[in-house]
Amino acid sequence: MNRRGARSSSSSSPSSPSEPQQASPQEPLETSYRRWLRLFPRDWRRRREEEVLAVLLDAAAEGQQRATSAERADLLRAAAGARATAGARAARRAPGRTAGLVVLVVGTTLALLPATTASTVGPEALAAGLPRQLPGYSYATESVSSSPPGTALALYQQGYGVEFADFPQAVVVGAGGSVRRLDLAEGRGEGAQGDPGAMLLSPDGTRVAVGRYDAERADVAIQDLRTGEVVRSRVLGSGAVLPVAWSPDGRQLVALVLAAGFNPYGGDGGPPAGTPVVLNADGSAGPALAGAPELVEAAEWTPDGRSLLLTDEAGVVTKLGAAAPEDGSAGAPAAAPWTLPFPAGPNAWSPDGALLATSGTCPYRGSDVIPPRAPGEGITVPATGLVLVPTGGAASPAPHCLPDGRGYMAFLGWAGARTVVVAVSADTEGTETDPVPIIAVNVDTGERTRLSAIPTSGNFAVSRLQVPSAVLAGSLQRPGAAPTTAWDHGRGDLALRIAAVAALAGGVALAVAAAAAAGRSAAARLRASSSRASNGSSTGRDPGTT
Amino acid sequence: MPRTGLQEPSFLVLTALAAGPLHGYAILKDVETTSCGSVRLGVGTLYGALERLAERGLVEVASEEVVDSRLRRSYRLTEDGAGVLAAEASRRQQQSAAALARLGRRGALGWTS
Repeated sequence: MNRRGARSSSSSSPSSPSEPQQASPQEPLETSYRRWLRLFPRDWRRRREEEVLAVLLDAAAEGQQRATSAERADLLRAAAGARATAGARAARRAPGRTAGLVVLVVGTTLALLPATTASTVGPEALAAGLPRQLPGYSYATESVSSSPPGTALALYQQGYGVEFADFPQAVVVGAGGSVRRLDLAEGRGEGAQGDPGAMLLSPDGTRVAVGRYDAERADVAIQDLRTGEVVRSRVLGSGAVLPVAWSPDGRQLVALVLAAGFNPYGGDGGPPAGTPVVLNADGSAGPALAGAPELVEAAEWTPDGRSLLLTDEAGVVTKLGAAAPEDGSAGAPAAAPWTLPFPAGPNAWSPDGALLATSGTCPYRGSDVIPPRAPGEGITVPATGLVLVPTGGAASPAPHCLPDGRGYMAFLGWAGARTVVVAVSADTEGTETDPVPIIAVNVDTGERTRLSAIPTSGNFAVSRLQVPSAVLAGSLQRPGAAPTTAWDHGRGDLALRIAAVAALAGGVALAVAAAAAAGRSAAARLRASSSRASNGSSTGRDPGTT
Repeated sequence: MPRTGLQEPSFLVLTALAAGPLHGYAILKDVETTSCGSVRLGVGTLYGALERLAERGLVEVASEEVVDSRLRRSYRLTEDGAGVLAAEASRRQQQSAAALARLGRRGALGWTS
């Protein structure tokens, strides 16, 4: 350590914390820490701030730019403690005046104090699968950043569009029963009409990657759901950056960098095309993708994690051998390009790689009874739905098809080699479902198993549902066996809590003012009536006495 | 008269200082090392403990210096502090011994007494 300029003074000397030099501009990390140290009482800051700041900076990770959520929680708690101590001292000096202040401080601290971090839940909890029902929309849900939910069973959006008090939420359901709003995604919703930003849950449920739909300096932020910690990639472009595929081991992520902003409601048809980049889970740059098409519309890892399949705008798939993350070497083309239909989601490949789930038009087969739109139309209408395409080439059997009629089925992933999982938000008649069932379908037998459901209350549509495949597999083993937990929504949204405290404080102030006014007017009435009484008695007495 | 009964962070901080004066960051590192990485004190928690311990006269400032134009204070154990730490440590030892002995009698961990 560099000890230039060190000087010592004895412990008995009251001398002074040196003035910190302000010559060089403050680093962002120091600025961030100083902001959190402002929470402490003035007296404490005079004695401690410079010293504690130095320790915080020493303890910070290399390259850290802001106080981590763990540090923020720790400082908040310590500040509350310091204020309580300072309050106790003040109360001894001036008991009357401090009592009111204490009420306010305690209220505010309670409102602002983050709940304790959710207990960490290991990967084994994922195998227990989904509970019979997942949580519905709630206004009072705390954020991931202020109280991390732990490893996630599911991530989804509830609600579309901002209306009066309703707004779309990105909801993370932790394996330990914690429900939290993914504030990182909700804060990156620019260009998405109030929707959360582009978000992708890692296959082990421990992280979420959130891109940008439209930002000058577009990057990918990755939040660890166990700690709340966020890491950011370098700026990847100006416009949109969309995370599209986590590697099966969760160590790497493919994102598409678009040349311009992307409006998910643009409706110009077709998925967006962008330049694929690989990021590591810590936000650092992954290996370069040599041999990748310049613009791709979809990226899929093969289930073994060894290859990356990139679909270009013409539907041609390029297969790249994944580079070992350690050596940082480039991936190499592993096979000649071939064409496949567009994958239905980030986990479209069946675990054994034999089938690829795609969204498409089901070819009519006798066994697929397509419900009639009108009498007589039933047989001739080709249904949209989930088409499960064999990947083995021309020799493979015909695709399996799950028609959804006029309904809407979202592909979630695979619960086994031959079992696909969908969420049905509108049934074959086109009627919206409530709750939205999550259903496993055996592609050979057509057997359906209901795994779970999400209530919509008729108003909060469920979309962008993501469930780790380990959870899907566990659910299929024991459908509905995981107990429906009493969901822990935390202490609620910070803004709501501040509003509630402000309303309470305002109410108290109003009550005090009203009481004072009432007191004054009562006194005035008393004075008036007593003077009236004395007048009255004097005038009244006159006639009686005369 | 020093009170007995220490919160966990205070106990860890006193333990760290038992080896000699340390500054804040060194205390954090020492706690992490002696607990084999299982305990990481937050900086706020550390200073909450130091404030309480200083108020009770169990630790005191040993030196102040400026390193890289940042203030660094070192702390040391007072005699009272050493006494409280010793009392707390033997209390914990007795409790642990009692727990282990009972577990041994029940054979819960397959031990023989």
